[in-house]
Amino acid sequence: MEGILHSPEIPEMIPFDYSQRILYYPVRHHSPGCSFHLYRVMEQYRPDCILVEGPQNADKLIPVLTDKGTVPPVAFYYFYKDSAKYINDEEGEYKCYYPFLNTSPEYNALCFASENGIACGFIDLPYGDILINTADEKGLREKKDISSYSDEHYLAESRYINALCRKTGMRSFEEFWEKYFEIDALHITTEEYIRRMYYDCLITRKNTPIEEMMADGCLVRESFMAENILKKSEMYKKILVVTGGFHSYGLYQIIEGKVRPQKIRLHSFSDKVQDVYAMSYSFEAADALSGYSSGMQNPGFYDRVWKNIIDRKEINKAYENALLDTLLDCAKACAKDKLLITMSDISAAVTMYQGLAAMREKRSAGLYELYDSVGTCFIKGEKNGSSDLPLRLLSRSATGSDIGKLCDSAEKVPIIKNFEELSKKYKLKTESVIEQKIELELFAKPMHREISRLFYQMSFLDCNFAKRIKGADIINNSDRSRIREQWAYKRTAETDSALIDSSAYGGTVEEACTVLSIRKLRDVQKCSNAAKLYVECFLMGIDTTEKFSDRMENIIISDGDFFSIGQGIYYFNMLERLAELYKRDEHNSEYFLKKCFYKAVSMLPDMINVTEERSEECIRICRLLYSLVSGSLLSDEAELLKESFVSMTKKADPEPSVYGAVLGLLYGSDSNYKKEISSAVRAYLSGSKEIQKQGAAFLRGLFSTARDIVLIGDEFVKITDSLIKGFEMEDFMEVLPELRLAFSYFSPYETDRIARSAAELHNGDAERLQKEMNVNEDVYAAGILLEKDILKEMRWGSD
Amino acid sequence: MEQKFIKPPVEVRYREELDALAANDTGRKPENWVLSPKAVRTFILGSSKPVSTADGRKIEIRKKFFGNDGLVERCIITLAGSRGLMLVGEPGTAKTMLSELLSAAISGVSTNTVQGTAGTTEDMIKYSWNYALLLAKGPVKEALVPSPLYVGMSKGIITRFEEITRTPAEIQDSLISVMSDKVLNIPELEDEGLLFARPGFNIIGTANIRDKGVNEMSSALKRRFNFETVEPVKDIRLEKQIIMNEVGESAAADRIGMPVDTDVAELLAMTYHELREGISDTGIKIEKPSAVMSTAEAVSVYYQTLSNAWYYEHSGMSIEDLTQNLVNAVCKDTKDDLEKLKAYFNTVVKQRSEKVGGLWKEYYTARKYLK
Repeated sequence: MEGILHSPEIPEMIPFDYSQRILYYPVRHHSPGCSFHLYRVMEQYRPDCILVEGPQNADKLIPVLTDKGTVPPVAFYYFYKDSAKYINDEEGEYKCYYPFLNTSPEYNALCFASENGIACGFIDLPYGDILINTADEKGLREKKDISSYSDEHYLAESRYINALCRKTGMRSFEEFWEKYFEIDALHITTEEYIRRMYYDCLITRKNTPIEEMMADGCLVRESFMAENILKKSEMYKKILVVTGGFHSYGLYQIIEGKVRPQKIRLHSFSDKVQDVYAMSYSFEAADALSGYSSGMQNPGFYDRVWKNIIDRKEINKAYENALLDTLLDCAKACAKDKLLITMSDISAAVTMYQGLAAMREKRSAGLYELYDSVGTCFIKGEKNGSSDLPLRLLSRSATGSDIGKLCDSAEKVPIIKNFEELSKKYKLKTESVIEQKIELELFAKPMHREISRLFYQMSFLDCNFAKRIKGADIINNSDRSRIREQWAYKRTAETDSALIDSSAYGGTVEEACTVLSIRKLRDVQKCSNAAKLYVECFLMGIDTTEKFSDRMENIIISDGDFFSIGQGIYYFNMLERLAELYKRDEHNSEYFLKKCFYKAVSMLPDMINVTEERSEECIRICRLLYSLVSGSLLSDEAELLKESFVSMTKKADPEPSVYGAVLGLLYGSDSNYKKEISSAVRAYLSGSKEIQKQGAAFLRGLFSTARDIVLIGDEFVKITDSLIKGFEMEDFMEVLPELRLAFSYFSPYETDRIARSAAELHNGDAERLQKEMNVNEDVYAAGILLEKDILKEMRWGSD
Repeated sequence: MEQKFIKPPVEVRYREELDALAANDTGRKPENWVLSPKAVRTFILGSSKPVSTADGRKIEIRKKFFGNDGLVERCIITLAGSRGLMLVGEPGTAKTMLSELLSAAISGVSTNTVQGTAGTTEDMIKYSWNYALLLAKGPVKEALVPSPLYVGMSKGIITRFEEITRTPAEIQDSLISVMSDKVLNIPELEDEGLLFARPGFNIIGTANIRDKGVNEMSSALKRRFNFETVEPVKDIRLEKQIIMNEVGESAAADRIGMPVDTDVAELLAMTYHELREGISDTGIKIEKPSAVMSTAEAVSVYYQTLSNAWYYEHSGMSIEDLTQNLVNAVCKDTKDDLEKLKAYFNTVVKQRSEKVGGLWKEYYTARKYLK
């Protein structure tokens, strides 16, 4: 198999010997294998200048990056504002990240240079110029949630590499890479390693159309990099060029005069238009970026491998140790989540990954064998969304949770800067040590709406910055009539540290909230929770139109919980109605509302048998559905809902209150249902004692949706009267709370009317029934005393 | 005289391939294994190069299990260790076929099987007695009737336990001591009553996830197994290929002289794939039927239509027949499935009949049979 990465002519294409004045070292971002051999090359070659691929305008940050106080993961955050419209006709803001981990060859190259007093620098075009030289939707201008400078899509998407993966029996490019470029790296010579890298990258390059390289700015960038290398070659004798493997050949061709460089026109921008900051980063964020073919995934695991190589000097056991540590981490995390993993499971997993490595002819097992073994030995039963906890925990452990730290001399983190700018814009007194209060007129003043959104965003990021004291609580459905919000706010050290923690998610407060909400949505399974998150985004002013659609739709489709869908309907319906008031262009809530509606309607028939505890909630949802078809949005679906209600009434053993409520709703749409209601009540009346008691619950449900049925004519008063008369005193006392609840749906005027009708049935005086007798003060005082004594007695009894 | 079977066991059907692999096998073998793990893998997943037989011929080792090569590798490594292998998955995902292939390649025999049912008793799993001999000679080895588990332990071969969750939980648990101590106690035989498992012995269980909860395995027994979930084939092209291969083989065996139509196989593969996954290739969301939408079911629908055409109609296969068979296959358990199938026709099939036409147009016209 090793012959696959060999070809007689390839090594000659780029000479690699230490006598060269310019030595090209090809890398893959965050690869410990590349870093391992890079150290060997630097030790042996002893360059007097190290040039690294990266936008040149970040040179000023090299001292911060290589400072002893800086601990990876950290990242460079680049931004460019195209106010001069070089990119297209619309002014746009662009930003991207360039992460550095302990395992990143670029980071190690710069640290080595700094430690040994070797000149170093970045050689790529500044970020803005890269964008200007890139076609729309290509390279760094591809539309992504987060953009990464270190793009390796050529390698990961190469048809040749994919064919090679298939031929070697590897399931993915990442597994292929791990086998031949990470595990093998620790057992082969540097020359052999570089030969493999060249082979891989050159074949990929030869299979990449020149038009594609033109479109994503690759050729212009290489021309600029080559120009920089040539300039440095006039000053230094031994230059080590550390770039992505794909570019090594391009640079070599230009420098050797075999290919003419592209013409470059550099632009000069002020710091307000284009700049770069260093920021602390996290493994999690680096891993998310890797999803865009921007370096190796699973940084936590490879960091363990790297620490075994560098700190513990256990090169031959690097994978063995990292695998075992990660496996044990996973087992501990499972135990924390109450999933017991025994020593026998762990030992079976170890046997499994070792056996798989032998069968797959790997020098050592790697992360992919670890995933295989955990999936097989830790999951007891079918592997699905509810049982794959061990795999999710393994993935978390392989991603790692480390957060980097910048040295004290580093400039401010962009998200803090963004927060300060916003605070200034909104005239918030963030410097004060005293808690400030502000009243926001949401619907009258656009700026107040923006401030409210910022406060909601800061709360979403757990910054402990602002707290709503008064105002409409949309999520919990309270104080909805309030048109103003009152907030208290104060900036503390906790605010800053939470913002820095969130900086991994974005350079601005809004961006961090956006990314975080997308992540949260990814973990949500229930429609109710997803819709709640959607409301939070609404309040934060985050545009969810594109980012949420797919996931939200899947959640609605897969959620089998009627009550969760019902909660979703409530939220989406509310957003639909509030959109105009909050000046939000809400297209999706209508769409999701309809999706939830259809789903709930299809589930309705079975809801007639809900438990008594959930009957109230079920009735609430039925009423909500009914109100939706009464409005304009879903008026065409009235018949569909009616069909579902009708099928509910046909089912056996209905929950009485839900049954009553549904019949009441049907009566609302068709008064002919009065007959059916009468016969249902009579059926309860003529039943056994237990059935009669259910009649009270039935009335409660009925009155909750169709109380007018009692007020038209006296038939229902008579039926209710018969029901009550049928009870023995003891049973009556038992159902009394239910009956009281049933009549609570009537207004005092209506209760009065019903009382008169009832009184007439018994030749009584309605006034007397309505008016309670005056209680003598002494009797009242004696009653209070008696109650106290009873309570005391009961408490004593409970002790 | 050549003996014909409806379904010969794997070791008979692939005798030539197994012999050729054994003759060329240089890999390390666990004790009592017929082939090395690598050769077992090659037998199941196929080889890119032909293999020489003992008489010098070159034969091709065909891929027999599609979908997940990693799963096969994990199964082999599990069986080389001390834990049993439990294959779980939807019905019709080739769990049994995989367990037969593994047993035939590892032990040379795939028929040492316990079939789990609600009526399976402990003596069917462990051992029972020949009562005539028992009365005549008392409890001696000669009177003992060995179960497949007993045979597996004494010979050092794989025992297959089909549909284990259909067996009552307390009966399943009789496997616990066998799996953890690798010994079977036969108290009636007194001093000779301990059967120690020979190397090579292991158990492959299969369990259908549709039966989940019927007789859920105890956690003590679960701990003795490594679990592998066999999933339906995700790749439509592969599913189409499986349908063509399986229908072709069955048709040849039954001497049905009709070719397998690629377009029909593709149509069926797409229908089954989309209904199973709940999404069409253009992103239309579809409600999944509760019926099993496995590739095996698709093969059965195709084969039924083919047989029908062969025995009754001589003009060739009709899409109308195919649709009727599809309805019968999908709408078994609940009427809701018919509604879901109708919805699929009214959205996805309709759209495709307008865009692609041809067979899809005929298919859409046949929706009148959806009742």
